[in-house]
Amino acid sequence: MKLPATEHPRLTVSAFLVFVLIHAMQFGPEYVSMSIKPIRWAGQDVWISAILSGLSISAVIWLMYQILDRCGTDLIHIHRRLFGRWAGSGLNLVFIVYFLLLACFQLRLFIEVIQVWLFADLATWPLALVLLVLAYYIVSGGFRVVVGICMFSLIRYVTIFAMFFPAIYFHFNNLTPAFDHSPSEILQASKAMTFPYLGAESLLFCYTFIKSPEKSQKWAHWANALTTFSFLLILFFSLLLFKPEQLSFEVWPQLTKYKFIQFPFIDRFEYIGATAQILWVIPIICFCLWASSRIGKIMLGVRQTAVLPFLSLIVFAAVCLIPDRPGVERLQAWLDGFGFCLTYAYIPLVYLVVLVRVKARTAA
Amino acid sequence: MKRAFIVVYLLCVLLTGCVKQEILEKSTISFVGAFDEAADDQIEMTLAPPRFHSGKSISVSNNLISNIGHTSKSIVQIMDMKLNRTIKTGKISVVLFEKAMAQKGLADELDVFLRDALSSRKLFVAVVDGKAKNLLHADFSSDVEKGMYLFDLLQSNVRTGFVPRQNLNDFEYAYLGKGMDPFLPILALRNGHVVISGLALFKDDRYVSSLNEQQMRMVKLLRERTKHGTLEARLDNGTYAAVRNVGSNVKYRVSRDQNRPKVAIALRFKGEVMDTQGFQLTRDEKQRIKEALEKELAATGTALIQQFKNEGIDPLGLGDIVRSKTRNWNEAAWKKQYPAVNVSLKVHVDILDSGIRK
Repeated sequence: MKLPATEHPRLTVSAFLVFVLIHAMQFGPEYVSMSIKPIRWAGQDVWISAILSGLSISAVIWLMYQILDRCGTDLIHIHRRLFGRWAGSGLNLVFIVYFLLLACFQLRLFIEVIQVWLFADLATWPLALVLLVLAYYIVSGGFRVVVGICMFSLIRYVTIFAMFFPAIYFHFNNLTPAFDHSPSEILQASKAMTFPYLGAESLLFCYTFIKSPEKSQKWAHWANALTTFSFLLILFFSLLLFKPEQLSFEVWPQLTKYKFIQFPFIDRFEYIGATAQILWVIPIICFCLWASSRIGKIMLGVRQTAVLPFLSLIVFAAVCLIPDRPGVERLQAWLDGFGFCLTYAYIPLVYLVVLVRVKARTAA
Repeated sequence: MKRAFIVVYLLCVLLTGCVKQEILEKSTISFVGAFDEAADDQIEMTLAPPRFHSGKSISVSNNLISNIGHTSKSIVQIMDMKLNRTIKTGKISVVLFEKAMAQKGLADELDVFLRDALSSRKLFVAVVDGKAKNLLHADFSSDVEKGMYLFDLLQSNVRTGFVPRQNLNDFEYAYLGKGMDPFLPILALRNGHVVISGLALFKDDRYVSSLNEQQMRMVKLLRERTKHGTLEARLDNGTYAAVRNVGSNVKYRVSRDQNRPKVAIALRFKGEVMDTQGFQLTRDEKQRIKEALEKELAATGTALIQQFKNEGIDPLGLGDIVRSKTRNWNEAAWKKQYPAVNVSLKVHVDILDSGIRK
């Protein structure tokens, strides 16, 4: 009972665009503070943890392709097929909540950065409204537009040059002695990096929108490799510029780097750096809204644009209800826990179930 | 639907002017802030915003304002009440502390600048010999505004002189980092001029002792690669020769010696003879200058390191260097063995050229 593997060709994207999508989803705005916890655990050996995390995500990507290629459809349909109509819908509902909370987190984090670095008196709701209207506009354009926004957001790599300005403050002896931490500390650091690495699971929901999806696997792995490389850069940068003791006082070390840049014509470069965060935020919000509205569409059997306004409203209300830094941190901790279970427990579980079913059918 | 989008976006564009505005002409901007102690655990803060005069021979002067309070931000609030334009502290580039205040610890005051999203990480911090307020009140710069003058004074001496670089970021790095202690330049008022008179050494964030100019040079040579500045060598026959620095390099080598770390410092100094007080530079003469300089630098450096060890402070960051070469380094153990650690200094001077004369 294979379902049609792909959508109408008019709605699909080329296989290589999986690279853009996965990378934009993984490399989210939480990178600004991602170096604090792992460095607290593993210090100068944190690069080992980053590589371990990258490899484990690559393994998860492989698992996901195994699931998807075997079933030939996306997770929304797989849920129904494996667990029945009601349980499957329940699981799909969990994913709607997950994506909506993820969108909330990204949006609230961006607004918080703007409030702290630029306009302390800015209320949360106007900016949330403007950005959600923008996201609504993009998502109502369909999946191809969302991927286009992901592509556009890669312009973020321009800010890599900001890392060179504090170079005279780098202390290279912070990188030695290597291998001075125990394996358990390195694994703890890896675990602390789960949240920044999340995003590959987006594949489970857009599989049917990829033209010749079986060819796209290598692009997903390359996207993960680029994410790992970017995170390594960020971690090395934090190690070179700050002492671990300093990092524990910082909230967003990657924004502090803009404080070292001064030009005669722009003295406060952090204004540009803080606002540039939008490039990390918008693609994720758009994809989250797209994915949750798509699940809603299939569950309820209505048009996607009919679900989208309600979901946007829910995100808007939730964002306005997160008042301060502890609220953002709580949400991040929750998403971190959920994402960890999703990538390292749920996806392998689904893989096993799929495997058992295939075996059972060939035996029967 | 499309019309709704157009309306929303038009609103976004039109409403951008509705945020809190900060207009340059309506704000008081100071480049320097000075902190002194006051009675009852309070602090006295002095700001020196520039005042511009049109059509006068002296076109800029400073308007000095001081107030006493518990926190610097509340002092700014009090200051606002005597100014027609509100104070914006984001542009402060030099922060001065009275010596007595530095003795009690600077971490609390500097936290204000590290916490403020608007303040710079590259601002200079300096300790003032005497009251910081009096230094700002002195008439030391006639043509430039005082804050910019102090900033340029420190900046140019760090870049091309023998003042070791130490800004807010470096101070925090050395203060919070393990196995090192911060230091700051000392500013003093001499005959109406502001001079960098030496280096203030800190234990944690507390001022403990100071170094003179000569020792400050040595600290710079032992901490950074330099390619500026001039050293003077005293020869045996009582004459002097000036040697210009064309590149110095310092290397630290850590080894273990009877279960105790041993640090070998190798300083290479390349110089060019600039002033020989008239005598002709033969090969022997060059050799003598080289040896005299080597001896002098080694003697100053060794004495300096001994002084650091006796006082239990580590402005060179030797602890951090040992940490980077030792597994399971532990700060408490290092502090215990620090006074007895074997630190050797070897100076190698190369005299390359001697100007355009023999």
